Amino acid sequence: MNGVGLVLNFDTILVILAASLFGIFVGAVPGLTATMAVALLVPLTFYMDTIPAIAAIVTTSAMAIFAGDIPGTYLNIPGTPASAAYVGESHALAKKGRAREALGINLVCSVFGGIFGTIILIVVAQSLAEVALKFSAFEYFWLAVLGLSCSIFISVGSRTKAFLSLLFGVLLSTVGLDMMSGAPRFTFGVPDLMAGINFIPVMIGMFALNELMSYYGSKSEKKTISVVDKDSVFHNVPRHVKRYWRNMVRGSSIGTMIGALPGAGADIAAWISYGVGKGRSKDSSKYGTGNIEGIVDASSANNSGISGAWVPALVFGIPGDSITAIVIGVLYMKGMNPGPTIFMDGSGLIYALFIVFILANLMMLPIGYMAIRLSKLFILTPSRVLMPIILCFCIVGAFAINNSVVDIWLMLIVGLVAYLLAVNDFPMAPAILGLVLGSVVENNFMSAMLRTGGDLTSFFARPISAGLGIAVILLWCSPLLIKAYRYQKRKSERASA
Amino acid sequence: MIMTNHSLKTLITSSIAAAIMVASGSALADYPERPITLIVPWAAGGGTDATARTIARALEEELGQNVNVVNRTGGSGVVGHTAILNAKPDGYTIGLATVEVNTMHWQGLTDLTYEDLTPIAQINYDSPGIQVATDGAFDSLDTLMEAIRTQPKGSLTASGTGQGGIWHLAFAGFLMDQGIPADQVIWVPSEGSAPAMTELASGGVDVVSTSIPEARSMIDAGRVKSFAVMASERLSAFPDIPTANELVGSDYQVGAWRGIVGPQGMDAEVVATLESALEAAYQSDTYQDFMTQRGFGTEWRNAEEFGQMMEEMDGILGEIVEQVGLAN
Amino acid sequence: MRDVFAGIGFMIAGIVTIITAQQFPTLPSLQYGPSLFPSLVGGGFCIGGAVLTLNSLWQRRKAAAQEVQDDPTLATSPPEKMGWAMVLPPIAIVFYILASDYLGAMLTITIIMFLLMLLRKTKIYVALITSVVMSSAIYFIFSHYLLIPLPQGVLLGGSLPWIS
Repeated sequence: MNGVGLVLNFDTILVILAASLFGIFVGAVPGLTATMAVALLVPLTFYMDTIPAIAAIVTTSAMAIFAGDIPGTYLNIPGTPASAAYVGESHALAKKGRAREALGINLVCSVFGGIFGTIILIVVAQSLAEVALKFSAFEYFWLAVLGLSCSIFISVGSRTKAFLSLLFGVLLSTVGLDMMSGAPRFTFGVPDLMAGINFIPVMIGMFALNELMSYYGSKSEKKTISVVDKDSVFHNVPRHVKRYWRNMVRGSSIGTMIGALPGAGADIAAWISYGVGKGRSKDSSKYGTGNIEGIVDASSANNSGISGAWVPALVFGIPGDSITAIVIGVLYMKGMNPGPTIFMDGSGLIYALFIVFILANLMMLPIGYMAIRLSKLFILTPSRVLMPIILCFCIVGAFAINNSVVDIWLMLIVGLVAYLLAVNDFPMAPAILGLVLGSVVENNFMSAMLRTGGDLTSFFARPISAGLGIAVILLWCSPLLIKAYRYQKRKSERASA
Repeated sequence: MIMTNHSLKTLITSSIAAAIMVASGSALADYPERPITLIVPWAAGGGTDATARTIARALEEELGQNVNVVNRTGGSGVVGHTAILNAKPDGYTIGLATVEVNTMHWQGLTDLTYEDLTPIAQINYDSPGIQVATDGAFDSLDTLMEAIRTQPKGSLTASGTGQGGIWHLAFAGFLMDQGIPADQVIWVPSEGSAPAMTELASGGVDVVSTSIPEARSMIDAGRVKSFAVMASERLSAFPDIPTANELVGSDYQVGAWRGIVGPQGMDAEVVATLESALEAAYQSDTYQDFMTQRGFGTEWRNAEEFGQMMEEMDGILGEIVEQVGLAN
Repeated sequence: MRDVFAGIGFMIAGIVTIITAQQFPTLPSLQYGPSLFPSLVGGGFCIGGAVLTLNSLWQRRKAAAQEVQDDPTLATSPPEKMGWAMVLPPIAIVFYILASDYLGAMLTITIIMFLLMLLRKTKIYVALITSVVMSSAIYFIFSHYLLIPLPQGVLLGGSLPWIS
């Protein structure tokens, strides 16, 4: 197979190694994110050969998505919208002195999810893409609503507050030029706002700025997290894997499926997988208090979602998420036109690409392990030195997305609002999902209505759409149904007694 | 490391020389004497970005200076084009302008028009195609046009870009050219061509109007076919696709251009230097090979012709925007 | 008690959102205008805010009925007393935005780091070395390798090679 030869040469391996380190670095530094890492790579890939260029992107994105959980665990500052789903779990574990254990199982699940997704990609890419092409605005509408609903149902504490936080995110998503009418909304005459609000400065503001303000607000230098010697990265992994392997497989399957849908991606995948996990778990009450099971569900799903996103990208040239959108551009630039021909052109490029996928995911084990060990730095560095550095990374990171000062302002303003909400016990994670999915819900709803002349029943007219719609309605009614069921059960017990 | 006296001296002299060169400002004869920034109003990884990076690389070879691409994305191009406009007209910040310069001001999104920019050279032009799903109801442009004419207004849907985007206007203009009202077919806005392609394949819309290269992978996959391209002659990269002129006798042409521009008030000599360097860069193998491989249309216009083309296109697109009902 | 204010705040925000949304243009071809979703969000703010307020008031009354002496909402979540210093990160960000065009990104973040470190009683040489090394590293990585046009600043006269 000439694909092997394309990958196994010194240059490519070197690129994979360098990209791993870059990905780990960007992911682990609060304020810098995976999408940003990939966007920043584009100019560099221009000067590379095809395989090293693709390898650089694949490796960087996989590493950065995993590494985003490191500051999430230690500092409560998640690196991606996907890891916002379970940052509560991993940070709670870190407070109990089990940070490495949490990151260890996270790493193993990420590797498992990534390889699982790749195998699906290799085996059934074309037929999976066929299914994805059956999805139209109606189906995407329901899927996004399902994701949003999950964020409320999995939240800990007041559902009213989670709902309001979600709406805050949705409101942010309406800023900018409205896709349907082309009219600017809430832009206040600032041209930069016409583009809409990018989730990266918002995430930095909501999580990082929030933590920074809390630190400077309190007089104490004491850390809530300390190094625990017996906390080992891999020691407990076999036990957790044995106990939760079903969650890993389920999370990876959900991740690959949802990741393969263009416009859905790893973010929705992680949230839905976490929601499904909580719904089906025997001890769902432990979710949100530092539960390994939730981490297993969501972290398998987000890494498999990244592999899944390549399915439509390779088969039809249609991006599955923001990272593959960039990747398609690079593929074209390197003369590797996505499409069915990519599987048959005989150059072996596609096999080389698969090998790169597997290699990148395997590489994640040692490099991820190293990163987890090194992340002790977050604890060993005194806060008084660490916090100013994080602040500066946040400023530069917010600027770097669009090279725009407006994004720094945005980070600041959203951060201040989020701080007010957070001290009043509003959860922040639903707001992030609201921002990411708000426009998906709106645009698909509007687009569907435009086509059917405002016929609301059309959301149940297509089979997949109807199925998803019913699932959403059942989810909404589930608290009532469970209550009714318990009431009936009690009544019948009383009757029999 | 031990630094010898000699090399230290060289270092000092050369750095002083460098400082003086920077301080003395841009003596025109020596232009360009430091790296040039090329602003791109669209995101990294897209077609426009790739075109910009390729021409930048070819331009570097001509000018002997680095040409750095900076993406300023957002607001349907408003942000990036405004950034070009606001740059210092010293020739060290130029930009890659796109057809949105001719459309956004008609829609009231910005005050910026082509008159605020200094045209340097046009380097690309893409013609719109008319694409339908392979398993759809239409087997030729005739049956499609017949259906559009006879079925009641709004029963067919088309997509391909956002509301008021170039492919929307090009399609509406084509309908108008055929004596059909611009709003006979409902335009379903989408975020770019890729989502429109999935909608087309899933039966969500009936027609997609985009450039042919944007539809290429779906055409290769056998899910989509292109009836016609609105160009004066068949595209060399897609010789099987007939022109609209061959089929319905229409020589209507509105498409997407890309060109290099600068802010207003640039020195004529600097523009001339850039223009000739760009012409060489345009002819270079680097650029031509890339455009052929992507299937992008190449079309060269020098500064003067480029300015005229923008002026002409501005009038045509203004008329279409008005007819579509998006004028503001 | 704070939930009452939060609830009222959301209701006000909801009303403002709805009023602003009514000014958005509509297209004849669209069944639902661009104001639909913002209005729905505004409506959601009002309903959610109302639920939050009423819930909080109801719980207070219930608590009062049980003749609990002290304020129950205060007892359940004691408001952490935040020092004035919590405004430092936002001030540092504003300082960066205003000063970086003049001082340049590198000098500005050096100053921010140095001052913030000193404030929490870091040893002066540690603060100096860390802030200079870190800001140089950030500046170099971002502008040299990642080609981000960080402001060079008028003060240094563009003498730093931000891109090449």
